[in-house]
Amino acid sequence: EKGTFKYLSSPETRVIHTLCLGCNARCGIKAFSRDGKIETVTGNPYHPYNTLGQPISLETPLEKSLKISGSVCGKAKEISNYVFSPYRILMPLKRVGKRGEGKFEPIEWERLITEIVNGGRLFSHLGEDRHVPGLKDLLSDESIDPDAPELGPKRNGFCFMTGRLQHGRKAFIDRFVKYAFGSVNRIGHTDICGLGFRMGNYAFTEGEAVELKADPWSAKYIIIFGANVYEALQPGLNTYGATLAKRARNGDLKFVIVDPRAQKASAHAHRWVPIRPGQDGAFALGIIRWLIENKRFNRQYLEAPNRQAALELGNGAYVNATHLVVWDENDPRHGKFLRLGDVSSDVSKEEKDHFVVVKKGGDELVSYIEVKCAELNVDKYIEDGEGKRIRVRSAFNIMQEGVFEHSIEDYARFSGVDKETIEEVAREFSDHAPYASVCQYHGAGNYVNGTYAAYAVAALNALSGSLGRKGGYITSGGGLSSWKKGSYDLLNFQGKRKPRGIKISREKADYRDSTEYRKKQSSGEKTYPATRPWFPFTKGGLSVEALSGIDTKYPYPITALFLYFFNPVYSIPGGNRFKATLSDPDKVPLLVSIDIGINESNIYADYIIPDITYAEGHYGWLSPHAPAFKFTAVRTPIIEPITPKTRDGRPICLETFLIDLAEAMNLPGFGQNAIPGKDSRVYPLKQAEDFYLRGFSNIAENANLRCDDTEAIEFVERNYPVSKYKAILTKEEWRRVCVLLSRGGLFSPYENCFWGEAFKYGPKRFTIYNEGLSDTVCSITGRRFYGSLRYVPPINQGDPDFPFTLISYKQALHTQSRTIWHKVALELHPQNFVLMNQGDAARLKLRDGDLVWVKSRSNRDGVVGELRTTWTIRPGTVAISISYGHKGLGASSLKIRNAKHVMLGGETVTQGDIVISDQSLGKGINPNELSDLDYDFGNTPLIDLVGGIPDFSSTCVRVEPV
Amino acid sequence: MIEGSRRQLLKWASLGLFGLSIPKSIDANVQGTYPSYAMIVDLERCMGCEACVVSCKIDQNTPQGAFNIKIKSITIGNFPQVRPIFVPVQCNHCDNPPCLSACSKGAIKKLKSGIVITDWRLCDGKGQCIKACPIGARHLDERFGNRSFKCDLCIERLEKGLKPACVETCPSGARIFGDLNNPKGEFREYISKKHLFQYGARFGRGGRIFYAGNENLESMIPAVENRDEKRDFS
Repeated sequence: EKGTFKYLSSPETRVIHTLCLGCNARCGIKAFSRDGKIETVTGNPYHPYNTLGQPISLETPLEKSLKISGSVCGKAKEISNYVFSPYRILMPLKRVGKRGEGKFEPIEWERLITEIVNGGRLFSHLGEDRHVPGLKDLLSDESIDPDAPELGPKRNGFCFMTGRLQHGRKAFIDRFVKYAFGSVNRIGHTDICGLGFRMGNYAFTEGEAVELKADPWSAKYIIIFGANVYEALQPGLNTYGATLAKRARNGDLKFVIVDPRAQKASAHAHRWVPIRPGQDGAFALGIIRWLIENKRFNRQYLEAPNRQAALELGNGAYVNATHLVVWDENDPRHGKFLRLGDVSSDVSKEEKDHFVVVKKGGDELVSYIEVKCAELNVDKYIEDGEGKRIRVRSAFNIMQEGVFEHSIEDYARFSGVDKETIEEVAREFSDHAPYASVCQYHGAGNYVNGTYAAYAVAALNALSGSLGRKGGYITSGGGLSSWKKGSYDLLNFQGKRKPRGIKISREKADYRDSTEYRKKQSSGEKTYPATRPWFPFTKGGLSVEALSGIDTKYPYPITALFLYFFNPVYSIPGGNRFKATLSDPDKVPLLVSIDIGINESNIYADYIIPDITYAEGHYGWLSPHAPAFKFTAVRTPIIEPITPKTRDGRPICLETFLIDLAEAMNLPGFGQNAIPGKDSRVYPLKQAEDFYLRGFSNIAENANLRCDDTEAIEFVERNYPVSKYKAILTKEEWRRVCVLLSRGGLFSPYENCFWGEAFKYGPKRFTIYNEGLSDTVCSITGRRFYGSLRYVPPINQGDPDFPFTLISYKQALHTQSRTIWHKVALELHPQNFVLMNQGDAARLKLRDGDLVWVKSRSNRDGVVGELRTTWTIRPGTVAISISYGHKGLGASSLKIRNAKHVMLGGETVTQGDIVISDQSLGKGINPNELSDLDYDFGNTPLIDLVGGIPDFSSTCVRVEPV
Repeated sequence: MIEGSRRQLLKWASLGLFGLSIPKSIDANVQGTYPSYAMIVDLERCMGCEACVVSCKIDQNTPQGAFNIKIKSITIGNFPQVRPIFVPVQCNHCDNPPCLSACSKGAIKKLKSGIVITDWRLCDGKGQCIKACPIGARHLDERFGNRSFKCDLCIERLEKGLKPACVETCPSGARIFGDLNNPKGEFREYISKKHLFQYGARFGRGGRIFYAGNENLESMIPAVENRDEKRDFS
């Protein structure tokens, strides 16, 4: 055996530990490349996500590690098909037809930068007489609307929307948009990613954390709501699903699938609960009611009023069940927690704000930190410090009232799950407490009123006492080492701006603070509804409402819209609606996209800047998804960028583009003097590596990595393309960075996240009554939101003309909009299907394989798909997977001057100026084309009024034979 | 395709097939005893994610539309008492392979290690073996004179001391590979403790692919015979 490279196909083969981006699950990969091509990828054995949570130690020599492979899923394996798709674009493009016509021509780099910065009559040769504003025109601190100064400066007219963003590039984009340009409008896409379950967690943790899941490594019973664990989720099937499969097989775990579709994980599930779409909350509330009525909840845990008391029970967090709330409509404190200062004037300044509980077994009101056990169910009158008689109720008491608004029979009816099943699941859940918890994801709560559904689902963990403990409902442990500061300050720079004003999506902004509200109020007009909803109580990342805001120019018009790796027309339910927005130069005067191909959205762009893929760049540092684990994984290139280079030799990509824009506008934080060092020198930011390598260096430095690991240094310098930039760092810094890069990051073992049973990280407190939510006024109705658990019906109340409810899902071999170039996946499954229950199909006299029309209220023309009949779906439900039905990314032809030099596939996909389409890329249907629109608000996509959740589960359809 | 053909030729060259009918490196270890390879597919762990299918496809570079592994998606029961199961199907490496007896050219060999291979020097591309295989594990590769191809348990990877690609990539560890003459670790545990069954047992051909799972799943195994069944739920 002659060492390491026996396992490689040739001496020229390079091995790189980095991160996958086939989806956002953050698995590691061990990539093998040769001559600029990627030979294959396997799993990184140092990474817990490739090893069912049991990676090899970081101390393991690299040579030994090369003989060990972790697992990866099919998406990771397709990296080469993705990176080298013939439909990748290589040259910057400028529109030469009407928006959306699909006509472009290459534009020289310097001219591209000048035109975007300075604007002008850029499309006059196409007969467009307008002056296109340049980015420079927005560099003004004047108010965007002098009558409404709260909206912020003109800078906010620049809106940068990000699709599949990753940490690293996120820091880079924020640096440009927020801190150099000074716009508040860097808008994420959390909403379509899965805001519903996140809003439930947001309410449950007072905004502390939105990502929590059942710990699959130690739980004994998991109820899975709307999480497609064998096909999607984050961590992905390679980690979470695989761990469930293994532990369930060994008899260590039972899991229950709550989903209208018997998803793949139903194969090994203890039960499949075929719930009605949008009714996750009803099912959860039914269980909670049964647990309370039968005294089968974890009383000891709920009675612990503070973290110390919870820690003694093995929980890293407590729940505020015993905390008292003032309940008196006539008292200004109504709905607020009773504070120690309210009942006693004889308290210190710190104690004044303490929550108050009733000491167990008595009447005494005490600070929540004073006792280990408090009365759980309290509803009584007390005298406050000023002798006023007020009613107080414990959070548990309020929660119980909400839960008891309906009987278990009602919840069974709402959810379409029989009462016996609710009771049996509740009993089993209780039997396994505190190792009983839930995993909720995209499907849970991703619909109008989903906040309350997901809040109820999350609260199940309070009843079982699984919060903040091994096998329970926990966050991740976060990163292991910070990129932000160290020898280099990557957060601050001279001239850094503080963006201010209201985001175009109105997220985290209160309508009551707006000029619109005040004007209406002073003129005696009705103050409600607001023109469009505002979202003071949300996690944010509201891409849908941002686009609706842009469409309606509310609360202000935007000037320039940049789309990064984002395909809203395809990915948003009802996204077709935004074709009109993007094609209208009045609504979007300048539209720029940074992407690797021409998709359904950037076909409307004025300019498209070709980007590199995760194999060529996307440097970054990523921490784990929930649950458990603590790591800082790093992404580094496998091969050199395949995009052309600028005159000074930098690859055309996102970073090069933003750097050159910044330099052309003299923005701070970029260029020669950009990055302050601890040594009081200032370092340049003129290429991507100037930023990311210093981030890596900070991580390595903060983790105190060795700088004498010869094996790691040799390994990286032999294999990693990034080593050609080593001169950016000092010798010592580079050596430390090599240690970091050699293992694909820093990882710590699972057990390190716990003190015994208690989880060390994440929120310290959970709330079954949320003061902030109860204090939030709906900008449409003018009424306060309810602050605890309650059944809120979904908007889908049935429609005889459209008798089926449409749901969508992801498949194991795809992520959402960007895996259509995965050739093997397409070869295996050339199209998707319209899934219908066999009984329903028989009733409609439809047969498996029939072509059918699927029509909805907002798409009465409908789409045609192939029917698959199955027993694995709830009657009355139709399911269509996402990822198919593309019109872009090669599925339609385009006209591009000099096309063979623009497209990576050259002459294989072009003929003169024509980019020839590949029909196989356009097969199947996109369920988002059917999604209902909101007729009350400009026919824009439906959203939830609490958090701005887009709707994935309420659209009604009918299915007709073709 | 050039890349594929070069790789393919290298593969056979490396096995010594141009000179020897039984490649030494695979069948004989230093002690002079023979490894006897087998794969266990645990149906109670297989997630149907098709990572193995993709991995195999990319590694083996099979022709368009042809796969060495297929995952049969089978549904048990009716709504609501219904569940899907996934049965990975690939060459069974039968003890008495019907493809071998069907081949008039003697191109198909059963190695001592249990692996059934096709010698491409002898394969005439007529495809008698294709018809003979009851589970449709074989296909013809028109890029190489219509020669017949199928799973060979990644014989070239075994030679390097690696596991078959499908085993390496399987996220849930549903594929367990080992040597029946020298079972170790999890493989040994499965052999000794788990209920195993074979497709080939149904017609007395044994083979080297074992399934693990409960009896209910065992009763589903005949379904792999249904070669034309198309139940694609994408």
